[in-house]
Amino acid sequence: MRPQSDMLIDLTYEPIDEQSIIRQVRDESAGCVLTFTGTVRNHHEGKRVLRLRYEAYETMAAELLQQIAEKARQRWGLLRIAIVHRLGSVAIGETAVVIAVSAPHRAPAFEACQHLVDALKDDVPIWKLETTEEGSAWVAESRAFKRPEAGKDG
Amino acid sequence: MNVRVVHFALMRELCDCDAELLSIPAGANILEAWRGLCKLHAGLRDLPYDPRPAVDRRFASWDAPLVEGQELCFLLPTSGG
Repeated sequence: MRPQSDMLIDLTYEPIDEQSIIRQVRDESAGCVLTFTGTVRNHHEGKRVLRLRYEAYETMAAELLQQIAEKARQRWGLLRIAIVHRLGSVAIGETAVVIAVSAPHRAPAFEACQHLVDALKDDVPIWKLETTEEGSAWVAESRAFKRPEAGKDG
Repeated sequence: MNVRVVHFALMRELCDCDAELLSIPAGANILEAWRGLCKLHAGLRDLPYDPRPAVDRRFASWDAPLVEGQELCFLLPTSGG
């Protein structure tokens, strides 16, 4: 078993240093380091986005990210994993999330990175408040939620 | 018995608080707690999505029984990344 330090999970209110994260997932056994960087775009559904603010259920999000990363490490034989997500106000063009993995070979690294991005978006309790010229609204993107069923609306 | 309900994002705005103690009958399940919460906050009755319940920071099923002092959260659709 590899030591816990091979996994970096962080929710931060500070700007994300992508190069530092990449350095931390490098490994002498690795044949590749794959990085996904999510950035804040200036448009959404035809509207000009002015800024975003991220909020999380921080304790649950951190625990869930740890579990998701550990499962991915076992499934794809990853060497090191980093998942760092920004919270608070984030300006257009800034980095919102970095997911980086190292692995002996590229194919499992690509699959794992895709899985980690999808799992983060679907399950991890992080929300973004999007401000456009028309006002602010919480964005609902996860595929893991259903339309109301009879009986749950009290 | 009481459970602590924590709220985030839109749920926090609809309930107008970060957290609250919710009184529910002993042995009540999550669905019964949700119905109790909806009686306190009218804005929860017409949500376009079912929330996903979590107990003590883990996803849970609607029929899971609750015990005194647990931390309950009803998550609305997320948008991380």
